[in-house]
Amino acid sequence: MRIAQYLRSGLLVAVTLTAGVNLQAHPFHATYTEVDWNAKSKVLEVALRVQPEDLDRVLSLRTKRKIDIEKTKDVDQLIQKYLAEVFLVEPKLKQPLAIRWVGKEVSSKEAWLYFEFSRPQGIEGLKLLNRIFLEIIPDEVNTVRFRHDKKRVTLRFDRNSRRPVPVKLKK
Amino acid sequence: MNRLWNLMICFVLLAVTLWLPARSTAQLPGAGSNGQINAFRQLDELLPTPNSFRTASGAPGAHYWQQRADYEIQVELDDEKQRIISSETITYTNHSPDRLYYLWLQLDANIFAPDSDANMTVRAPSLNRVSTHTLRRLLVLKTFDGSLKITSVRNAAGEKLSHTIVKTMMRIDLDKPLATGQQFKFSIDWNYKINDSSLIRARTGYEFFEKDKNYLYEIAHWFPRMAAYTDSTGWQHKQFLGRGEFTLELGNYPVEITVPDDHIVAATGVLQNPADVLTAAQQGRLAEARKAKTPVFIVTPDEAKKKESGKPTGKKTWVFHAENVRDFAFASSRKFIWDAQQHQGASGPVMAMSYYPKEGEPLWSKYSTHAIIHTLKIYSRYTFPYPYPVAISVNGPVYGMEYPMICFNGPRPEKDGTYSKRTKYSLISVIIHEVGHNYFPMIVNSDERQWTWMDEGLNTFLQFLAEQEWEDEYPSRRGEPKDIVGYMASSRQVPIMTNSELILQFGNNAYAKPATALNILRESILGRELFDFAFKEYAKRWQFKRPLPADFFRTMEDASGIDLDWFWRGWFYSTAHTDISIEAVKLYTMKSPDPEVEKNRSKEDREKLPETLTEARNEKTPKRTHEFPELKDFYNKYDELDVTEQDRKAYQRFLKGLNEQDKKILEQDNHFYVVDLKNLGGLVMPVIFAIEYEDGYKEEIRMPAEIWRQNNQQVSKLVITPRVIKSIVLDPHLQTADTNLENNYFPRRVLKSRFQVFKERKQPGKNPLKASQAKPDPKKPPEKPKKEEQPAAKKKTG
Repeated sequence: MRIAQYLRSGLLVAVTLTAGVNLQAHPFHATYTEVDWNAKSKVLEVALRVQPEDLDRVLSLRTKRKIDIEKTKDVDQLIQKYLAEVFLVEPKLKQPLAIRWVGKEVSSKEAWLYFEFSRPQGIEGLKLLNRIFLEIIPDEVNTVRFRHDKKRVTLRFDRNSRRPVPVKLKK
Repeated sequence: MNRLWNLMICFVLLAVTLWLPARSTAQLPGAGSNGQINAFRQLDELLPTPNSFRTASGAPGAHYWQQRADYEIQVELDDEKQRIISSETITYTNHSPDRLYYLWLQLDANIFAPDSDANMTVRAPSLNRVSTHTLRRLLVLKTFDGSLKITSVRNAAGEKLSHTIVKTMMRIDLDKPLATGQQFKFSIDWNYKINDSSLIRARTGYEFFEKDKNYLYEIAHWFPRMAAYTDSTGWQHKQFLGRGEFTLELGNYPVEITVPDDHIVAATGVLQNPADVLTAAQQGRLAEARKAKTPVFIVTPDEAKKKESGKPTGKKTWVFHAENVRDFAFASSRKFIWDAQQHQGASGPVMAMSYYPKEGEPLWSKYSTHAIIHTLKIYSRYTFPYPYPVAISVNGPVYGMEYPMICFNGPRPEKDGTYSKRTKYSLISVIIHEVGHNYFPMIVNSDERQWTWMDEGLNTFLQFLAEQEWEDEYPSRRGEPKDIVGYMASSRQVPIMTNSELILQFGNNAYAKPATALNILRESILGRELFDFAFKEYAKRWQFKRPLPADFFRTMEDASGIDLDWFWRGWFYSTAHTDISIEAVKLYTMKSPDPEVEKNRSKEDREKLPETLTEARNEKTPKRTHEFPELKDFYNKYDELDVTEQDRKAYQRFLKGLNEQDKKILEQDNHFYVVDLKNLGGLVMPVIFAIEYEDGYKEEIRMPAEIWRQNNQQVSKLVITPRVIKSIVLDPHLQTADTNLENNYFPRRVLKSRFQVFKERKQPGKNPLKASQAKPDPKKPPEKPKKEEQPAAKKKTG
């Protein structure tokens, strides 16, 4: 039933990639994110760690071409666009905050993506959802550690996480 | 006693709390009754009772036994229809003290039946965005049947045997029970379709090369294999669901593999008939490889390329023989380039060989065989000499999978032959890892259906050691404590001691965490010497035998002489993490017994007390005693801090009572610092202080984890020093995987977030670090400068 609905609603994007190296093979299906609330500038500062090959793969699927995050020229824009869809920060209004790209660091070990969200009204009522890679890796676990001064909370998102969850900071 | 008491009195210490942060109310994970987590409670209640099969010291016992299964196999690879047609004769020897009424075999290829448990329990992917390729894969799971078609099961006399297939297992009923020491010989015929690995990813499969229309086969778990029967599990016939890999019996394997006559075959074991299947030139090159210092081509890239457009003229049968292995795998293709170099192992020569299509070049001829030999060298040092005569790495569709003497590894360069740094290190790392699996679990034959970590964790640990000896600053992904911090702090984990199929966050749980735990055990708890001795002892004890987790835990304690129950309990049986906090530092100074000194000091302290607002305002107010000085008496002059004759006499009496030692102690001007520590993460770990003093002197103090043994949650440490402490850093070398570094500092430091560090570095001219990092990377391989791009962020500033 669900599949039929998706098909009809046209959300199914058909992409064909030539089979190359099997990139799904590593068993590390997890990302880790550090979010800090900068009270001075009223900005959520985000550092997201991924395995570079996962990002290559998801972007290749989306763009129908081979993406290498270390080489593809417009890759920052592609990442930003992707993050805007999967990393949602929600105020009370139902609209997700606009993402501001800051940059990335890629090594052969890991890739860190840096971006931020401006929220002049503070972190009151903030909600968060990180569904990165869940469309390609069903058992992906995305951990988000949220920190403000000495208060912090760790959020965990997986295949069953569909809606943004409130950020409840604990001392 | 009396003397002590005297001293105690004059030691009345002046306490100053240097710093006390807000009280933390963090809940300890796994807290039991009374808030005590009993981190040091002995493990006996969790470990199986030692017996004569497995001793309390963690070694195989006096009556240790294991079954044996010897195989003779004939197999034909059908390159036209991508099928396996095969028959085998198994000789099963019952070394158990038990009578067996039936035998269990594994039919792992049945995982490829459309209605297999593995397929039926695949959970729905997110369908917001899928490729047509993914759709094809989902559909092919419903239609492709790659399960074993068993055509005959007969005993040695050729009579049919009653057998029952239970999904990925098969039971053969015996006419008479098999008693201890008896053998049972039987034969099975079967065939099956090989899976297309581009549609069904697995540990076996074929790859079709569209351009030249050739196939490359990597064939594994392709024959009915005896299920293990052990003292601890009985028959290990947990169904194959796709993740919990294998456990098998050891035996000998004469195997005949028939393939198109232009194929090259790589397999577990030693080739028995080179004259039948290799050209004279190839045999000559193999002889050359035995003496070579670098890899020698047996089949050159040109020869392999020529064969791509050719056609076979018939079939050839390659005969292999493998001894004392638990499994047998092979690979076959006309596309294979083949290189080899002999390695002088401690227990004899080992032929290290790599097989790869031209699509693997130029990476494979450069790194694969080198990586094999490197692995054998390093792993053998930490375990036992590699006992097999060959070690093989094959490039094909399987990303990384291990079998005895042979493994399949996926990474390849781009189509134009260039490759990124990431691809290069992925290849070296995966080869080290998969070749390393020869040690765990091929030789130390642990049960991966039950415990993934016993081979993946130990192997990932040794992989880290081997990588670090490949080149300086090798970019290892796991091993360093700081790299596991994100996982350790994450919620809803399961302990390492969790069955393979039930693990959440598989890679971090079964590979990275145990590897890191062992690295911590080696570097920070036992030290390299003790750890290496104990780890080697474990490997030697269980070489060609079947260890259980308890055998590992017990051997490591038995051989190191250190009680590690707390370590196993914390790292392997719990999901607690390290977060130790410096909560407060209090300074105590000695009260001088000399009243002249002590009372003057007290006066000074009194002077330092701030004047209150009212006192200040009232200072100028005229007082009545100014007008009538006669109102003043003794008490207006008396100061309780003036030294009296009585005080002096008491001091003389005190001095007379002191011996020389007491006097010396009193002369020293020591500071007594009490550092209050709190265990916020629940995991008990050693406490390491780096102390810097006001005079610039630095020192490190290391306290073993046992400092927490009577109170797992908070503890105070006394530091006695004549110097004044300026700062204390807890875990200064990032040894303990502490998940929160902010509370590791006295005085507390606000640590910049990763985000802030990155953003500051991005701003030009702000940071000297940037300038130094803009220099070209000295590790760049000169032949591929363009591939070695600087991270984008650095590029922008450069």
